[in-house]
Amino acid sequence: MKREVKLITGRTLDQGIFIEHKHSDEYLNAAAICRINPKLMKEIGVDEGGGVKVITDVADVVVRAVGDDNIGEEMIFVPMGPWANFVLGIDVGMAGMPSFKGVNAKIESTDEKTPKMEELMKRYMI
Amino acid sequence: MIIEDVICPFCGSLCDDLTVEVKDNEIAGIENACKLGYSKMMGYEHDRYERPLKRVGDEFKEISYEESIEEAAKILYNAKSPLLYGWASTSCEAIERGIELAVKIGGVIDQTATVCHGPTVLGTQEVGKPSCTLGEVKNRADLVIYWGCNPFHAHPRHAERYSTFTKGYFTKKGRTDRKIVLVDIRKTDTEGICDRFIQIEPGSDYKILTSLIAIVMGKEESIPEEIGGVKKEELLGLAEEMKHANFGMVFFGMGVTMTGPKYKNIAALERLVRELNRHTKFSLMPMRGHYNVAGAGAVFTWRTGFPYAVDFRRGYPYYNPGETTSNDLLTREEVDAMLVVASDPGAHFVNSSVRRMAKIPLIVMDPHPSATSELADLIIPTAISGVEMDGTAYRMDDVPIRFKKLIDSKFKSDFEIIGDIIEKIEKRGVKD
Repeated sequence: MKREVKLITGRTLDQGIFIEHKHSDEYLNAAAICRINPKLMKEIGVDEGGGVKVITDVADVVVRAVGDDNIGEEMIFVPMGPWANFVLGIDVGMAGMPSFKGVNAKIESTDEKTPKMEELMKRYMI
Repeated sequence: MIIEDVICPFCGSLCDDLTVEVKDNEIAGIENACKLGYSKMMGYEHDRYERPLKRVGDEFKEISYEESIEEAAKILYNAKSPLLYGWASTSCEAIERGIELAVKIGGVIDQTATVCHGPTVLGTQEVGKPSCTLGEVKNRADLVIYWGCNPFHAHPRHAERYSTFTKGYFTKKGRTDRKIVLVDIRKTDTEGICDRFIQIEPGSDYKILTSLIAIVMGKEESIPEEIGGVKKEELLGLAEEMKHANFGMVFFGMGVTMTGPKYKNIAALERLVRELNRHTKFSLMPMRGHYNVAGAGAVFTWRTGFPYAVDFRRGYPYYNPGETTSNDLLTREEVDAMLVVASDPGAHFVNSSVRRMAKIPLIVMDPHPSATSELADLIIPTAISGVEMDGTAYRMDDVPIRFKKLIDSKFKSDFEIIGDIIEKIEKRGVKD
């Protein structure tokens, strides 16, 4: 099932530590994730570490679920980076700043794999 | 060799108390750095580009430095609408040369504030920024509000050095002399160092800020019982604390600049601080991300009159965020060549912009592989500023600080490379 949420993106300590190691597994584990309330995980049927497809009007991307009690059930948090930004679009009329927080999105459980950074970037070249 | 008082080249806090041990021209140890700074400075050697690379079909081919400069000059000279982007993680000296290059090729130059505190700039142009230095915060602030920012993750030593735990002239007991408040849409790890957490609904910053303005102006009867998920009573309490602080301080981040009406949030926050100064001393400061993003804004402003998104395509500086900002230019497919310096827009721009970057000639100047370099046509390796090159950077409170060179590098600096490209462009003559 698909569930509507607000997508929030932002910095995290691990995303920052590995920001200049973008091809590393550590960066993948830090940025290609989705922090999500455990109740919402249960609702969409995804386990810890399972695949979550984040879908917006722009595109969709698969990231891994990380349970977080401090995230409200109406939102998900994806660290800033290639995975989060793949599904974000321009916000015409907002003086140059795209919306990186509070974006309307849908999420669903998936068996698809999270793409590596270089695989994700290749999608832009098609 | 032990080098003391080293400046950390990671975030806008520009911590200036690191001690670095250098052995045989390698960094052997670092003291006082947070995990972010330590990772950058100790990891400087990992996965470096060794030589310039040029894309040939699906492969990269090694070329000489001279060939890479010639190729970069050719791409930028022949472009009708080139974009020069990045600049926040390099020296002010390199940024100044970048502006010179933008003038010579008649391009657009933009910096990372465009996806960061650009709205802060716009809010400030509308209202004005009542600000101060981090030294004043350390010595005076007895009420600190973190609004839509998470220093625990993004600026790990900020609380220790400037805003929460540090002891100052009027804050001799450090943490116990201060009241710390967090305003955010979720309980982040920063909440752990705060006295109070006010949780607001996503995108409700503007109505909460304007409600606080009304309360501070004595118009609390106009405020509903609940606004943005916060009880009126709680806002009344916060406004009282603000008015009765000896020195109040708001640090704010992307939670305010990237949501709802964006720059109007900042204008509202600045109006609130202006109103509070009728009652006490109050100030505010954006939490700047890249270590020299404040410097990029400063150099852009004193060289062109504008702080970011400066367009020289008409032959004179023109600035109109929403039109001349990078994501708008790329999405409208106006940009026909791009130079990226000390940044990774491939990872941090929106889908439509990166899609355009993949289609046009793209030059990347970076020490390490990045998401952007995956799309590049030309990659020029650089020395790492703050580790292998000295220069000037501006802290988040706009205080310029000279950062040090710790070890020698076989790579050229951004400053030198941009200079070499300019020299090649000049040999080609004045562009039409």
